[in-house]
This record gives sequence, C-alpha cells and structure tokens, in this order.
Amino acid sequence: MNVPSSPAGARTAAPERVVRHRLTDRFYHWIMAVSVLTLSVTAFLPIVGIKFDWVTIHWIAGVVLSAAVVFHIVRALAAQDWRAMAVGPKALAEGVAELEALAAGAPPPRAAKYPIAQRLYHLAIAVLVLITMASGGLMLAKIDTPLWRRDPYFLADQDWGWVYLAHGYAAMAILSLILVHIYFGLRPDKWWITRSMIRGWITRREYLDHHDPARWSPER
Amino acid sequence: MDWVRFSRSVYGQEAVQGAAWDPLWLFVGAALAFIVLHALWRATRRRSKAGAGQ
Repeated sequence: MNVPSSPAGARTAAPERVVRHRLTDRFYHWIMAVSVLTLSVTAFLPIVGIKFDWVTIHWIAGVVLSAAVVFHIVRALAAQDWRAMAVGPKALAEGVAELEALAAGAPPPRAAKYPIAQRLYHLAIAVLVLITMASGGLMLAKIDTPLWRRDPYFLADQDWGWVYLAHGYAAMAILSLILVHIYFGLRPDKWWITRSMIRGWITRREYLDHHDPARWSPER
Repeated sequence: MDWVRFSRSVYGQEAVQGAAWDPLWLFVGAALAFIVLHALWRATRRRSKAGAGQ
C-alpha cells in the first residue's frame, strides 16, 4: 500500500475504521488476561490469608497461559511484523522525544503502531511472564496430574529454592504491572486503545490523532 | 523485612527455599504510588492547560 505523504493524503487514504487488533490477537489478549488474573488470585489470596484449594486451578491456568504465549510468539514471528513492538535504539529515541515534548508542554509526537510506553510495557511483561512460565513449567514436576506423576527429585532441594525464588519475584512484579495496566485501560484518555482491544478497530480521527501514517499504514 | 525464605537441612546446611512474601506489599504499594502520582500529574496538567486556554 502506498504511504500517504501528507496529513491531508492520510485523511483521505485512511478508512473510517482502522483495524488495530485482529480477532485472533484480541482473543489471545483476553485469554492471557483471564489466565493471568486467575494465576494472580490463586497465588496471592492464600498468601494474604484466604485459604482454599488453589493448586489445581493455578497449574491449569499456567498451562493455558503458556500455550497462549507460545501461540502468540509463533504468530508474531511468522505472521506479524514483530518489529512494530520491538524496543530498539529508534524506539528509545522516540521515548526521549516524547519526554522532551512532555517537558515542553507540547503534544507528544505521533507514534507508529505502538507508542513507546506500550512497547516498554510489553517488553517488561514478556520477560516476567517468560520467567514465570519457565519456573512454573519446572514446578509442574512437583505435582500429580492426570497427565503425569510427580517427581520432586527432578531437581536438588537448593535448585528448587532458586526456581521458587524466580517464580515468586516475577509473579509479584507481574502483579504491579497488572495494576498499572488496568489503571491505564480505565483512564478516559486511553479508552480508545481499550476499545480497540474489544472491537478491533479505532476511528480515522483516533488514527490520525495518535498515529503517524508515514510509519503505520492501516490494513484494508 | 525478609526478602528470601531459607530452610535448614538435617545436616544444618542453609538453602534458599523461595521468595519471602513481605515484599508483596512493596510491589503493590509501588504500583499504587505510580498510579496516584500519574493521575495527579495528569489532573494538574489538564487544569493548567484549561487555565492557559481561558
């Protein structure tokens, strides 16, 4: 598709509804949301004193999340432009420009498909979820399920300790990120992004206000 | 505040057992502090913009 060279060109070239998240990606996002919230509730409620049989729900939610994340990684690498979410020197320069605009009281520069804050959030949550997946995957060896028998001697005691340490700290950090994510999702000035994760699209006005058409061309 | 849970084997050796849960409130508190500060900052900025527009 030809990239419009001017805002006027973009205005006429952009469709009325600009697809931001396809159905598959929204489905993935909400499966991830439900499984992460289930994992957090089953992990932290017993710690704060609300006791219930949490292990079965927790490991099943962990397996669902892991399967969804593997699907997402394969899809992002094979069928999507993963660079749109990457954090490299160019994206960091965008972040600096955004901070400079904020300091000057000017409107922030328009982003490509994903603003730098979203990319940094994605990077942080990706690292933390991968740590919990790896450590949680190992911890599955310690429980009996219909699919396998437990083998607690799979690792030495001190090694299990490090696995639990990594799992615990990554989970606590994820809890912080979830709270921040929900806050931004509920902020009225960010509803257009939240809506796009439900409906899949943003309006032409939202596209032109927040995105740089020279760096992100809408799908047709 | 404990950061790490330790266990002691029958031979008296200390080993890491996992994360201590005291820092849980630090993580929650840090997130809530960020949210409150951001909300205040945005509200202040909106008010000063509205003031400048009058």
